[in-house]
Amino acid sequence: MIPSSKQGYLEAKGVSVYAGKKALIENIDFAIKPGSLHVILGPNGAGKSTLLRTLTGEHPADSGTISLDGKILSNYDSIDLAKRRACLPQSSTLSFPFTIGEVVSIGRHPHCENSADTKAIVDAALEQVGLLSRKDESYLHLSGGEKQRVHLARVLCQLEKPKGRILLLDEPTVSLDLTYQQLVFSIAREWASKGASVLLVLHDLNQAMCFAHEVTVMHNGQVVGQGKPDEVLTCELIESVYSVCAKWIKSDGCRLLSIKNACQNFYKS
Amino acid sequence: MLSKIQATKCDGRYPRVLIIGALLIILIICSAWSLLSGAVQTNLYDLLVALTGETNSEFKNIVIREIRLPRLITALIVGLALTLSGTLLQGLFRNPLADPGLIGISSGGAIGAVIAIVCLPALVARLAISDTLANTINWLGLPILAMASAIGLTFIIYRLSLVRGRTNVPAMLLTGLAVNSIGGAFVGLVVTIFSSDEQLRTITFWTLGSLSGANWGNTVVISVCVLIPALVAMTQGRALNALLLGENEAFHLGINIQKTKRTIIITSAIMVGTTVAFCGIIGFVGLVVPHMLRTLFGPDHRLLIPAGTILGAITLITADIFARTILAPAEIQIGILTAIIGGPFFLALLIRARTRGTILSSI
Repeated sequence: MIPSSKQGYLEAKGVSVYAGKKALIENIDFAIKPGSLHVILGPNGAGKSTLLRTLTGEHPADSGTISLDGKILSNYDSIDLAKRRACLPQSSTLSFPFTIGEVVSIGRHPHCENSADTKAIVDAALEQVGLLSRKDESYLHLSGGEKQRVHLARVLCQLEKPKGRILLLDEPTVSLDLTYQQLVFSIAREWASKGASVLLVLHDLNQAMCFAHEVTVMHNGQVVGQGKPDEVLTCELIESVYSVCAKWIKSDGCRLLSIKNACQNFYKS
Repeated sequence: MLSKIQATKCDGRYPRVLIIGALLIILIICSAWSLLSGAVQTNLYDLLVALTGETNSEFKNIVIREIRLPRLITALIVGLALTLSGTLLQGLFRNPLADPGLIGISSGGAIGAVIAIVCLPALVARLAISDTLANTINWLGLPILAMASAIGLTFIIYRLSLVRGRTNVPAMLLTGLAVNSIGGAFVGLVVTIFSSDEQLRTITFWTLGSLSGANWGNTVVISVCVLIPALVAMTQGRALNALLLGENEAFHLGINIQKTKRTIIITSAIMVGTTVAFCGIIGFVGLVVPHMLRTLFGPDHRLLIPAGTILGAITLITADIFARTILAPAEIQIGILTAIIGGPFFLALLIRARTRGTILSSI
């Protein structure tokens, strides 16, 4: 039996996924640990989302294994798994006139509880994303960024508390303004510090450098760098993966990426 | 500016118990109304006497017990089946325009019915069997063939839309479209080339739907064939709410998507297949009633499913009362009436929803 403080260890070993003969991801070894905020980076089509989908069990791996706390993921009961692992998709296609509160309360599906408990948890989650006062408004009238915040609340509501839980966020800041981008990162950091295993797929290297405990850089379906952000995200790696000349600049103790014009070899290839 | 903000604000939703309670009261009133209306004059006292089970052979009591009551129950069950399957399929396809016809139930039923009406008598006549047996076969042929082909065709569409073991919903809609048009062509061919004038009338009669064949024998069969799958289907409300978010989201919430889809498709096919077999094609109810409720009370399936079944029953009972009484002693086909009553009502709801800014969900 694994002690509860160590629960939430999600691991991929030698995972490959193919679409026809083309490998989307190939032979990936990867793990996220409780208490850590892990960021996956990489250019478009590098296989980030495929890896995320494989980690949730949504897309079965063609070879290799995914395990949670040493037990193969597919051996878990789907409801038990849903109580511990939640995933925020890039965008959602809900087109029925639910209220904001109702959408968030759908997150409580795996739990059997009375409606007063549900209401308390839903309200707490809405409070976190700053939408509690708009609970009874129609979801359909919201902007893309607001919808994204509703779904973040739904996902937090599904897990209820951080300890031993796994929180997977696929580009959670894409349609958010600066204020709420910072809010998402502070929520992710807070959950990690309280014992959750948090995984984010991101595009912004500055954000990764600033908030991640660990990063994994993917390129053409392979892992090309893994470890602490300041060790992995070197100018050489960025140049080889993104074909841009970049330089880290120190400013107020924070590192910022300065990008020069695209590299020569970008045009050649 | 202020009015714009108010327009986007949803109404507070009514408590579930209140809505369902109100609907049940309306259902009881409509049922009593249905038992009281018809060619033979009856009053509430006759109704009470007939229902409290005192067996006397007075004509009024027989009319109520043997004619109006089975018809009322048939209307109730058929309305329930059509609305429940409409609600479930709209949720499953995440498309408010889905209805049982879309996955081949109606056209399947039509194929079976046409075979039973046109081909079966000719076939039976060639067999050297006694008249009673031939009549029985002709009588049972329609419901059995219609039901079998409704369920069979749905199953074929379901299998054709399995992609790597998962039901692909857009594929299912397209397959349904293709199979429906093949079925329609088949029916048209048989009707125009092989059928006599009388058979043509029977087929037309059947495609517009009618409850006039209701008797206790049929009513019991319909009730059993509808209520068992209905009870199974009614457990799917929470799962359907999650499915509205999208299949992947539902998967992350721990829902066995494939099982949910299978349950909904199979129970819908059996429920609607049964109604089609005994009462023909009654359109519009399965499409409009869930839509109406969703506009009024929101899309939560934990409310939509029970409220929809009751409102579906109310709708069909009321339609049947008008069908029997407007042109008495003649009867109007109930399918025509459901369209006449439902159509304008639906339009009014759409217009109201548009002006209030609560636009109905897009496809």
